[in-house]
Amino acid sequence: METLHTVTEQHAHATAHGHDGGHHHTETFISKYIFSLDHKTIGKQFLITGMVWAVIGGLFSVLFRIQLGWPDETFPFLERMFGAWYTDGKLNPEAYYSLITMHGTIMVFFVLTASLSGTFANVLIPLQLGARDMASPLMNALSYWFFVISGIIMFSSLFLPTGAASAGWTIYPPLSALPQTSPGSGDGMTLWLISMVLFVVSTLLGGLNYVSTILNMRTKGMSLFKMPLTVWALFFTAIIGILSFPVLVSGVVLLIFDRTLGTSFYLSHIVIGGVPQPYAGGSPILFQHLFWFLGHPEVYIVILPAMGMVSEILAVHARKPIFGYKAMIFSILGITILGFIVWAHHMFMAGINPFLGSVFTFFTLLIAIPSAVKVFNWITTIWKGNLHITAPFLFAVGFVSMFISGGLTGIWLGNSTIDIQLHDTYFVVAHFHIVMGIAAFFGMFAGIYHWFPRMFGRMMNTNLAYIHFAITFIGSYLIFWPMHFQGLAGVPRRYYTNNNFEIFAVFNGMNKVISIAAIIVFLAQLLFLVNFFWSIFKGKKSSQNPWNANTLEWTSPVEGIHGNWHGDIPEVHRWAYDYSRPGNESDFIPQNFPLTEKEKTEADH
Amino acid sequence: MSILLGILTIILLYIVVVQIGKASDLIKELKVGEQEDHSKGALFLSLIGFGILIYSILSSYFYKDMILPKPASQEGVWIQQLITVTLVITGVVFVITQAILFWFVYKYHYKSDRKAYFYPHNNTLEVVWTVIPAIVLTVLIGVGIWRWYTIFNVFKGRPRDVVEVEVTGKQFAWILRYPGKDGKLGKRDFTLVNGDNELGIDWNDPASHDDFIADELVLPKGKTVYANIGALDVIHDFFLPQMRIMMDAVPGVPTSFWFKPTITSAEMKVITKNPNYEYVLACNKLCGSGHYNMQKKVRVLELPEYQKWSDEQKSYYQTVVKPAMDEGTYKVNSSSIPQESAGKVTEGEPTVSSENTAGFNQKLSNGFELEGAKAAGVEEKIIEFIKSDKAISKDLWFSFDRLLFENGKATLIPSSQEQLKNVAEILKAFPSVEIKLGGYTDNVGKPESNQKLSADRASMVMNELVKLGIASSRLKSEGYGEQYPIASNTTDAGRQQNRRIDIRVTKK
Repeated sequence: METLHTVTEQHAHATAHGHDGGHHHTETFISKYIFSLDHKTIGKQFLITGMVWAVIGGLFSVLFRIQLGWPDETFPFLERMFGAWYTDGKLNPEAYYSLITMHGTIMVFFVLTASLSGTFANVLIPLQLGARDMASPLMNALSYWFFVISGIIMFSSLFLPTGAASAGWTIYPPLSALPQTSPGSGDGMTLWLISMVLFVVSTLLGGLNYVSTILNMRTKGMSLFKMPLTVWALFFTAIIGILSFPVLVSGVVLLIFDRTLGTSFYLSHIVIGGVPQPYAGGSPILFQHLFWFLGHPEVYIVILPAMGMVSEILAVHARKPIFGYKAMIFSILGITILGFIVWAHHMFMAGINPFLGSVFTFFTLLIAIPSAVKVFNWITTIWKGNLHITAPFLFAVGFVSMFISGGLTGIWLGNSTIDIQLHDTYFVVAHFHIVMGIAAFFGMFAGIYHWFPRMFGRMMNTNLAYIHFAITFIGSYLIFWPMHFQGLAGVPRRYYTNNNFEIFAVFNGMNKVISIAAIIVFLAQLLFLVNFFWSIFKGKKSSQNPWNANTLEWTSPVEGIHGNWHGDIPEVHRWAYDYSRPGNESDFIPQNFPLTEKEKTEADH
Repeated sequence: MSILLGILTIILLYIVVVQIGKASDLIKELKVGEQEDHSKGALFLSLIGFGILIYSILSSYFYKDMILPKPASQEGVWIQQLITVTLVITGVVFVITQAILFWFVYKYHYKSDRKAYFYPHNNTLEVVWTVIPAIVLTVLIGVGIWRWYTIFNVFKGRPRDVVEVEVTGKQFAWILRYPGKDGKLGKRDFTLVNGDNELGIDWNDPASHDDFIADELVLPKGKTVYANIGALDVIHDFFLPQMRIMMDAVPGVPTSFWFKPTITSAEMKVITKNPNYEYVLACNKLCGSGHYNMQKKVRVLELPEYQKWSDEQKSYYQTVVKPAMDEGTYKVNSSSIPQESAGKVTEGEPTVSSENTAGFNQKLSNGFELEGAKAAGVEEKIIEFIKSDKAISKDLWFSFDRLLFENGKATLIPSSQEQLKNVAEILKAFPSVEIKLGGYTDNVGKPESNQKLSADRASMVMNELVKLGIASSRLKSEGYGEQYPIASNTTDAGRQQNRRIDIRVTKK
């Protein structure tokens, strides 16, 4: 009854504003494309802003990979381009540490959190649930603009004479708290902290909105268990964000106090250059707890939307229902809950009580169970399917492959005993880049190729997508697979060069290969961007339902109208995965198709 | 020019690729009406997948000799065993799942005459692949936690009969203190810390009198070592890669690790077939711009050799502290820290500014703010001299206080750049000033080589200043070798003061 009520009310609202066809608002360029309140436009804004950030973050990784690949060479042309970051054609250590810090911050927060969730939650939640827009379009727009402001502040820190923040993306104090210990912990860190607080505001505005929309604005018949898995994933993602991001803010605020007010939340017994500093009673480990209370759920914020989209895309392009729909939902729920009680596995070697460490090992390894269920279900979904090898499908399969590779090394690192050896080595770099970096990017690419026709009314070029996939997939393995061996050789991450240690310098040849692969993969992403922007204007026009998918977004007009549907919002009668149902002529039955008489009698039993 | 050419080539490449993409799209449209063909795409995806699978297996074989040699500690052996078990389990799952994934991709690609199998769920299957991982993980969790508890002595308590070594991290070096003959480290007290007593050792505690500071981490084979780990400034990480030992060094939070080295350095040279193979202590937590160079040599000796080495070490108190105390040049307990966190440090030295005891903050007329300059440091002294009406004198030299060279070399350690930059900016702010740089050494080693080293170092500093934009016509440099010591050459601390670079203003 609740659902019905909401829908009726919404409908009345829509009618009053004339979305019912015929009459249109006169919209200026600014209100339509810039300060828009339409969820589809805001989604595109998140996407394109994220692309700008991804190029910046990727470029940074190219710069520090050049340093790691050729630590003894000079690059005068880079000095001409980047000025103060280089001395005599060599990247300065301070600049190197700023670059890795910014690369991490940008990729984790700006690209894979804000842009990934922001894009697909905005585009998909209202369209797949049958809502005219988000619960609060204004909050939605504010969420985007806070993200923009936060980004501008972070970007401006790059131009400070003391450099951007350089304490790593995890900004552990005391390094981040005391400017005397690192130039990047001066103004650069101040801007980092301010930017991050605004970023959390953006995330919360977005997340609260997604949750309220999902709970309150589903169309008639769209019960929770008829929702596509994308929406389920975005729902849990938003909940994780709402519960964990505020903890980051509290951690950050205390750090700001330590930096400005002389408090000692994270500082105690500190001596710099023989001079004792006036701090007492704090603990640097407290910050790590607060940081990772967000930091670990954060990786699920990054990966769950990708999982949701991959589930949907595999089903559509395999022409087969997702295997174990409910198991998929409960495994996400399991990951969400467990994800909150494993944060200290990032701190096994931080000096926590060993007994505490063992508790976190236990919960951490348990996460492998729901993760394994998901992988088996994805593989079973394509088993005996009728696979359409399209661009989104390539990337969805690529995601599953990456998730397996990176997930399995998680079983190594989650075990505290093994972590004694591998903590903070390149093994960790390989693990998390594959399982949450590359995998999440593959999910995002799959989503972009799949829903591009819905966003822009045109198709992306398939051949370019094939090239993009081949280079990215092979390149990613060439970059990150060898890093496992570096990790097993004990090479610490965050070394400006390995040349000062004889036992680590043996990898100089391998590092060159990795760096060349990284540069090629980066260039391949620019090819993707060419395809993306070219297709927006010149791509082949999309039909109403180019993939023959069941979900509601493909019933909304291709040209993307304000309010999403002419006339009434379609009513939902079935789940999203009636693909290749026996006894049915076509291999798909959209959600808004009423049940047949036969199905009704079956359902009654 | 070459950049431009490079960019143009890349753009051209993109255009070619995009055109090919478009053309093949057109061809596809011409073929409309024919059946959709996904076999080529499936083959493409499947081949890439299997290619990567083969690469990942082969590379493991190819790189297997580049990873660490066999663990050099008892704890490392346990870790290695668990890694082996985990490798086998995850390796099998990896190969099977990846192979099935990419095999299905090819096998079940689209055919117009086939319909996908409607298979929405199967409870038995789902239970099976929930329970099997659960059982396997239970084993891994069980073994992992058991080993973890053993390594960290959770149930059996702290081991007795250990060799203790105190490891303290600071930017960017490790300080190693051994308890000496009494087996007890002298007490430390944060309030005793000052420039002469960085660790804040309480010299009133008799246990401190035979403690010695070592240049390298020397450990006995077959005996449990108790690493007592701490840090002065930021978080560091005590990392012995070959022994698979790691623990963060956290300021204000003491940490520890008990481990038993099992292979001596000499034995390891044989195992690795590398006569130069050395154990190493590295820092594995980002601690600032010199992080990548923070290390100490590690030597593992047979127990008797270790005893011999230990007996030969000279007490730090007897050789450095006491002589200096007797001369009255050692600062004792000069600082007192108010226990309230908001209190300020009082250093008790007249030159210290009241604003910030640790630093000398000044904005130059060209807008540059000096970085990290210490009170009464070279920056303050030079500025004071230039601004004052004191006459230029051949005997008025100011010593750099944060300039460090690599041992015995004229290569500057990166952290020296900050002070160099400060001096360069001071010279820019006072454009009429000219300076001379003097290099000095202690009296250890041959006088001729000291002479050369001091000259090289002075001219190195001059070159650095030129690089920072100071005209070379304003700079001179000279090496004075062992001449003009400013402190006694009989103590470590004195010798350290004598190894220096000085500045003399030659024109205001």
